[in-house]
Amino acid sequence: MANVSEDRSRAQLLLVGALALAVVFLSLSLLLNSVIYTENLATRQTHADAEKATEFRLAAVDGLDGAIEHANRRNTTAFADRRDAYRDAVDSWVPILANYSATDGMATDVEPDELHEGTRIVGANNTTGLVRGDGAGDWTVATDSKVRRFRLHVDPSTVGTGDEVRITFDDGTTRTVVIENPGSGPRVRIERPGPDPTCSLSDGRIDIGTGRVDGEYCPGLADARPTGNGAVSIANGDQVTATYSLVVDRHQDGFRTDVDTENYPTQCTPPSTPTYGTSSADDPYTTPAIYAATAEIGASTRDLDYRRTIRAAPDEAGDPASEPTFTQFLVTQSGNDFTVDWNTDDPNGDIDHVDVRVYYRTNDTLYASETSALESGTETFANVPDEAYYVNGTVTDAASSRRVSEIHDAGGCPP
Amino acid sequence: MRAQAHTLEAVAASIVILASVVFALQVTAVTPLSASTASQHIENQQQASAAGVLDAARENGALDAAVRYWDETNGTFHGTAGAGYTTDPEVNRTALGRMLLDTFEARGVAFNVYFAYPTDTGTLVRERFIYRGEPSDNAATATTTVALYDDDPLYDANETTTNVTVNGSSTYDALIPPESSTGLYNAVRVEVVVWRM
Repeated sequence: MANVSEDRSRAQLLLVGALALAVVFLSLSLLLNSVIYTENLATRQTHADAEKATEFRLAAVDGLDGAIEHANRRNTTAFADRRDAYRDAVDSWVPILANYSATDGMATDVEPDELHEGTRIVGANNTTGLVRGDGAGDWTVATDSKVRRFRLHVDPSTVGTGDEVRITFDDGTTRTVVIENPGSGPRVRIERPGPDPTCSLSDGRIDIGTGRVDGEYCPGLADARPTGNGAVSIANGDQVTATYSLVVDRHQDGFRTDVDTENYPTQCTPPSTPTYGTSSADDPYTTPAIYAATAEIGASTRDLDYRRTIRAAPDEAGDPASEPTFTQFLVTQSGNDFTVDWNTDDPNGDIDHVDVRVYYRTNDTLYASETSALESGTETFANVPDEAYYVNGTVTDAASSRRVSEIHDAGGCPP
Repeated sequence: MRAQAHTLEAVAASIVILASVVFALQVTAVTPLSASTASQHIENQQQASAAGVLDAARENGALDAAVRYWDETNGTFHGTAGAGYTTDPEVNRTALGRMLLDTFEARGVAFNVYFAYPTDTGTLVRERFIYRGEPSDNAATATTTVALYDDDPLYDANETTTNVTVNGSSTYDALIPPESSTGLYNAVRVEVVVWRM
């Protein structure tokens, strides 16, 4: 009998032991499973959709950049023509991009929004140098402007030993890009505080907007780009032959007269030979151009709804241009009466006021001043004494101001 | 007799316990973080690297130069009979190829580059730009889109622009055909496929 009870307790022991082992193995497998699941969650790309949306935004900005450049390259003098070319290009590119996005599981849309009109300056004559309309090589290219996409193509064989063409950017800090030949061959030198970096020039293509010489990255050149509002001037531009183009953020009307006043301080506006012509037959010339463009983009996937405004301004450095500009500044002189018609525009739409001031040219003292809160208007200065005057317009918005200056003589021109 | 049975039982029990310890030690799963060529984690990293190279190439112009690296007279990419670049010296011809080699070759990662465009029926046609072999099952893909305009210039063998535009070229449509008549030539999708060799 004793034996029977011993066998029973052993069987119970085996049973309990087997159960305990089964529970241990089950919990072990449960533990392992949860580890696998946790690691799966940890390595899962939850931001994959956000990455796709960012990629789409980059592609959209790049596409707008291309459309702006395409529209600006057209041989035309009308802004409306560039605007139409831009819209056509964007309209045909949007469905293709949407098609690509759809294959990635993302629904996208691009809605072109505003265009910021600027001015494109082109010197396309490859037999002349970096010169203004009358052929002078020391001159001012742009005043009080944001400059983007400044490209030059210099003929390297014309850069002789001792030549020194200087392109100076002044936005508060002065930096100069020098095209020179110290005897060892043409090169680009960037004058700035500290040691001057140099890059050799063999093909002649200088892209200040992207900081490249002959397609290769040139270390100091990208830093020479003006990041703010400033002036661009050239010295000894007649020593080489070159073609060039750049885009500024000011409207053609105010920009041209302002540059003329800077270049020809002794002549009435307009000077006998303006700094820039207005057709592609002139060298150099200006045309209305697209400075920047904005668009609304949207991208949505199952988990993500992404919407934002993008802005394209190829090769722009620094903050987006937001300074106001005169779209018209017309001084009509009839005898001793000056009538000033103006119209202004502002990319961020917060124009505060417009000042029109008349100064004596001889001593820069104020003759008369009018302030208007209107974005466009007319001021008349009647019976101005026989003298030479600066007629200046200044448009001011919340953060900045822009000025246009003309020279007129109530006693007859030139002063 | 009883003692022998007990001894045998003890030996059998110790074998069972040892076997279960060995079993418990061997029971480890292949988790997503286990080191392996098929790891999802590595695929994610490779995909992110490829996307980074594409972004950088877009920024420095290498992407534009690659899409328009076209030999107008022969109707092929420069220095190849067609079907894309395969060897290291060939891949090194373009800035995009150099960037990809610099990024991936030392890490034992192979890559293919394709240019794709849509057809009228909405399907995608892929052209080989760089072809280094058949991707493995664990390949990762990064894509981006480049817009081509009619007056964009083709690039010569040294990656400098020529006077021939994509629309003015008589042979470029063999690579990418024009899609619209509005100034836009076409929009090209650049695909980089990377995988561990």
